[in-house]
Amino acid sequence: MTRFASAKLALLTLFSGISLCTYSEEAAVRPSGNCPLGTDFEIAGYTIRTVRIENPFEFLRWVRARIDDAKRDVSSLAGRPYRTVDVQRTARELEGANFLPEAGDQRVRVSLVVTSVENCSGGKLDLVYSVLSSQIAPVLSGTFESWKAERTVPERVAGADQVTGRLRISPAGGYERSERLFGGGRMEYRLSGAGSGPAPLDSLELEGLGSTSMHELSAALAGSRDTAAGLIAHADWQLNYLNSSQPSDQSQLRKNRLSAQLSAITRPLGRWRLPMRLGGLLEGGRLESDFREAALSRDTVPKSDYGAAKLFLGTTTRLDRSVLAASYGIELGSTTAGARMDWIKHVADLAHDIVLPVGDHRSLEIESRLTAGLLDVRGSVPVTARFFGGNREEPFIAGETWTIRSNPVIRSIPANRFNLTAAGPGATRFVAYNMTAAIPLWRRPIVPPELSQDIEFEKQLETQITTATSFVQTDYAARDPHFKLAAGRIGDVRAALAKLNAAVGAAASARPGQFTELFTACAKTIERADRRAQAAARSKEGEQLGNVAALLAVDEDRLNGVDSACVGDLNARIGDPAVAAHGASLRQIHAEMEREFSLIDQSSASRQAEAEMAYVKRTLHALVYDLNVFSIGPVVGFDFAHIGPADSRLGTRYGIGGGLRVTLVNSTDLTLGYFANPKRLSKEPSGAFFLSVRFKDLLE
Amino acid sequence: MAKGSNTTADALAPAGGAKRVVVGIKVKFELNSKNGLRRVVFGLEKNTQGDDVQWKIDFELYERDKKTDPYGDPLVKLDVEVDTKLNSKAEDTAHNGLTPRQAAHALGPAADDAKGTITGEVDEDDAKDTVQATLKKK
Repeated sequence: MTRFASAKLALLTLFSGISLCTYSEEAAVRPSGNCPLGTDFEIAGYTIRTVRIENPFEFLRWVRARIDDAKRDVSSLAGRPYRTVDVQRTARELEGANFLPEAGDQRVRVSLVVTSVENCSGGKLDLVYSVLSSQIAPVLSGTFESWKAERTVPERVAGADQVTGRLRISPAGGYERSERLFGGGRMEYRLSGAGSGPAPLDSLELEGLGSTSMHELSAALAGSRDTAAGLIAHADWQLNYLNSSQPSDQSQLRKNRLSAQLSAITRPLGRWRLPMRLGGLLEGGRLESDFREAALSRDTVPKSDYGAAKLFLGTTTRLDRSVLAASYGIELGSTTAGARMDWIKHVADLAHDIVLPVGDHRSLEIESRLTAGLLDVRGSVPVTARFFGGNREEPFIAGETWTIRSNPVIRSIPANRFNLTAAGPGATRFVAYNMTAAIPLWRRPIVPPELSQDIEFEKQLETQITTATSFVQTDYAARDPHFKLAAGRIGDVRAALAKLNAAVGAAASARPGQFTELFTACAKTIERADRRAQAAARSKEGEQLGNVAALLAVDEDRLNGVDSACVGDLNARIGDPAVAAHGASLRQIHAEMEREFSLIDQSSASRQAEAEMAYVKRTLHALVYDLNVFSIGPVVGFDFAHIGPADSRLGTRYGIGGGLRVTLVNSTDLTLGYFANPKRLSKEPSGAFFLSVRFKDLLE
Repeated sequence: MAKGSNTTADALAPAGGAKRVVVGIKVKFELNSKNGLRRVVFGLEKNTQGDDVQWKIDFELYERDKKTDPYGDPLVKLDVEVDTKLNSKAEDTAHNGLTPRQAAHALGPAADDAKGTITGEVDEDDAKDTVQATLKKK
């Protein structure tokens, strides 16, 4: 939901942004001796002048506390001669410090510690440890909402803010022509031990905003669950209470409702490897307005109790440089108790963002959104349930993990004032398109360019992503039906090995002192093969795949080893019929396992692993190569919206404008600007000023 | 190990050149099993001393009985020194990452033999051989 803040707050924020910018520039031009490449700083006799630890998420209190602890440990290096062994040991200690909270079921956690030296002059140098840790949810990181969050709250995407058992307070405030000067904030308490139980409760949230013309108060209990296996990758639920009063040009629009919703996202599915999102919601309460009944359409009432059920589904995907989300929602509403359906509302929302790099940590970002709605009134509908447009987004469902826009957003008209149709206030259909382009002119990267531009660093990042993908691929390969058939023979293998072992033992007893080395070699190969078979029997997924493979030619070839030692070498000399029979039985089982194992569709497993890890890879790349701690730059935009029933003169509007976007990931996100309304009715304003400010956690 | 430059600190402070020089990178991936009871850590460490580059792979295995338990200390921790001059396979692994077969071997036999050293079922040398064999898989 778009928020607006006061000019005073904006000036304060701008000032702090400029201050940070100035500091950054000063740091960049500080006189320093350059450190020559290819130098052994120990042999060259350098002394460590200072030691510094950098972490992009140092503004988080708990990260800062760990860095402070670590600083105390590394400070002993300062003033001492540069010794490689000491520098490396400190890096290992920093890696072990773990700058990430434990976060439930994330499959992959990445930790980078980069050691560098700078300011080499006067026989001294400064030692810098850069630490970047990240735990990325493979499916959730591919959503449109996660992409948006990266820009303003990268620590959330990196999994660095998942600390529980503490209160977060985030003030908000602003100004908008309809809503006037308003203020408020958001409080959230994340519970310790969240994420367990049949209905896990993660957080309690309270949000409030108020002005002389509006108020909005919401309270929510929310929970979620991530799963590492199965079709559903993530599910969340929310119990939400909302009491709001929003101004339009003629009346207040009031809502007082309680809702319960459940939504989920699957793992990537189908040929295009797209995750599906789906959910449902039940809500009930009262919708009110100050409209006179005579001013409204005959099927519309100014106020009424109501109940509604919503179903919604969609998909989202993240490509290398863009992200796409498509959502559809249907609302079945009633103003009376019972099964009568008074209205059916359809909403379709398509969002696309693309980032076009134009320099280091500088990209042109183009956001597009196409939204349409249709209200089919079969009985009577409260006017508040009709579509009201303007410079304010109305979400179809609560929460931040999935946003579905449900009203015509046009930034050149104040909130809720785009509503007049041939049938009176409130539309029954709309289509709206919004385009925004932004580029940062001044920025400070999260990961220093010295690191992100280091070729070896880039290569090692790719290497580790490859390794992680290989691990995930083994899990997918272990689901292949042919692998299950191969693994299903493990019990037979163990039984055959036991019989062969007994036959060999009997043969040895019958031939005391003969062929001792051959008997010993055979028994040892049987023991080793059985150890792998035991491990395969008690393990699952990728681990089981590795142990089964160890029996086969693709890996340690343990069963061939048994055949070679016991039948090929030993029984060729002793000609024991029992050893021959049990050896043949084992060979047959082995052959069937080899055949099934060779039929595992590794290509499919590879594709699935690539698809799952692609989101992690793209998110990691964005954190390292795209995102900024601080950025400021211009924004331009174009809006189009049509509401009905109305002809183009009454129901079509445009918006053209621009502004400024300032992001300080440690404190504030601010956008301000003005959109002109070139095709307006006589009483409509010529445009709308907008300013939105969101502050981060005050207690950080 | 061949040493790099032997010039003195002051003599090697030219006006041009890199402002900050990276002398070491540690990248660590933690991979958690689907049931949340096992964690495998593959750490890769590069250290630069003059013109010399040294690679080291850390292998750690963690297990726990319940998801609500902390992992605690690693059940097994093995360090593999990679000699880039003598072992091209190790170098390939260090530079290209583990293949799926290598990953399966590490998760299965390597981890199992490493655990076996704790119970005495497997000699430590045999376990190290099994871990080293990870590098030989295609």
